[in-house]
Amino acid sequence: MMNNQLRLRRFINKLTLMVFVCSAQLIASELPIYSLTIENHLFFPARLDVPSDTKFKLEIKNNDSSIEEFDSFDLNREKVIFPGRKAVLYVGPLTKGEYHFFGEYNRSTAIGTLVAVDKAQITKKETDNAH
Amino acid sequence: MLINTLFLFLREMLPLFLFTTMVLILFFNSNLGSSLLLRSLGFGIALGLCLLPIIDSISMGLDGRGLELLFFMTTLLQMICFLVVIIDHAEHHNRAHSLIAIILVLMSMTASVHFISYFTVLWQTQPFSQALVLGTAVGVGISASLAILLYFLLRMVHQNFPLVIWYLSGWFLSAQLAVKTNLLAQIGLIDAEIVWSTEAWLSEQTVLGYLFRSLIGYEATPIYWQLYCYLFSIGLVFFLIKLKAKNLSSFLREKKVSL
Repeated sequence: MMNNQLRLRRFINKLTLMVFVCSAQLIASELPIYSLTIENHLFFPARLDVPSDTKFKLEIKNNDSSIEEFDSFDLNREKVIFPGRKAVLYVGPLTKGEYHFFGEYNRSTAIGTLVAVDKAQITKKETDNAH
Repeated sequence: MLINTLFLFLREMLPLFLFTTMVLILFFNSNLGSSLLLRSLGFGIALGLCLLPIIDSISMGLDGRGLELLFFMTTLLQMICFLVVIIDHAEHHNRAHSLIAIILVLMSMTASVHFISYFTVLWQTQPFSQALVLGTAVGVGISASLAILLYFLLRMVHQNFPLVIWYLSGWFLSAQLAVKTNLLAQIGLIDAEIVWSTEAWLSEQTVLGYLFRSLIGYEATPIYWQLYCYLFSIGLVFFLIKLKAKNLSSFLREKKVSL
């Protein structure tokens, strides 16, 4: 009985240690980055095209002097962003479609949409903008 | 703002109300009195208040992953404490009570950080905002009502099936851990591939959605890792309760709740 308890405790200790080790191994990955800016309680751009079926980083910069929280039920993401700070969220892979997000602290104005489209469409758009 | 405040309150504080109810049933006639319960909750909220000034630094720590890791680790710690309670409860009552107090402290700390941060920021921009106060009051009312209903329901069940409350508490904490697993996907530690979407059937943005999320960890769009975590932790908890069923039942029979 005592042996079983000891084994169980050791197992739980090992599991906890494993979780800490895994969380410490933060490997930077080469993912595409897409940016949003919060200014005057608005998201810029309000509509952002992102690649479908691809994991990417969403960088959000808060240029306001107050806290904002990026929140999205569609993306299952929420992140508090302090004034003057930048936050990075990992999003995807997303199927094609629209994903709405909003600012928790300014819900009436800070709203936006991520539109997941074919990667080719985004590349074409970037090329057109460059020209 | 009223609806937003209400939903945020339900999202953050409702799980705390529900778990406090379960603890009250589990330890009703034991030495874990209401004073220890209240002190744990109060201490947790106070800790949350102390964290507020440094939450920015925590958030920026570990390459911007600090806050998510903190919340996940505290939830994991709650789960581990509960597992130890199940294993140890019959032999070491005082240690079990301390661990339950730790769970309540951690839960109230993480719940209060987010809501108090929201409340104070909006209060600064709109002092004495009626919508803010009303939203909080309605949130307290709904959470308290649900907790009280749950209390009476569980007391009735507890009379005849004393182990049910242990299973329910274990399920509850497993659900909380599974919900927090999504934070690891947010910071890129695990994949975020969605398994299914039940948003059309039951939206997370409704009161019922929040209740199911708080009780059983309902997610309209869960990811694979959430499912793995959910199944593994529920399996582990249920297995341990089954293993210790005799000890837990005999203790509960001695301290039978009287209606």
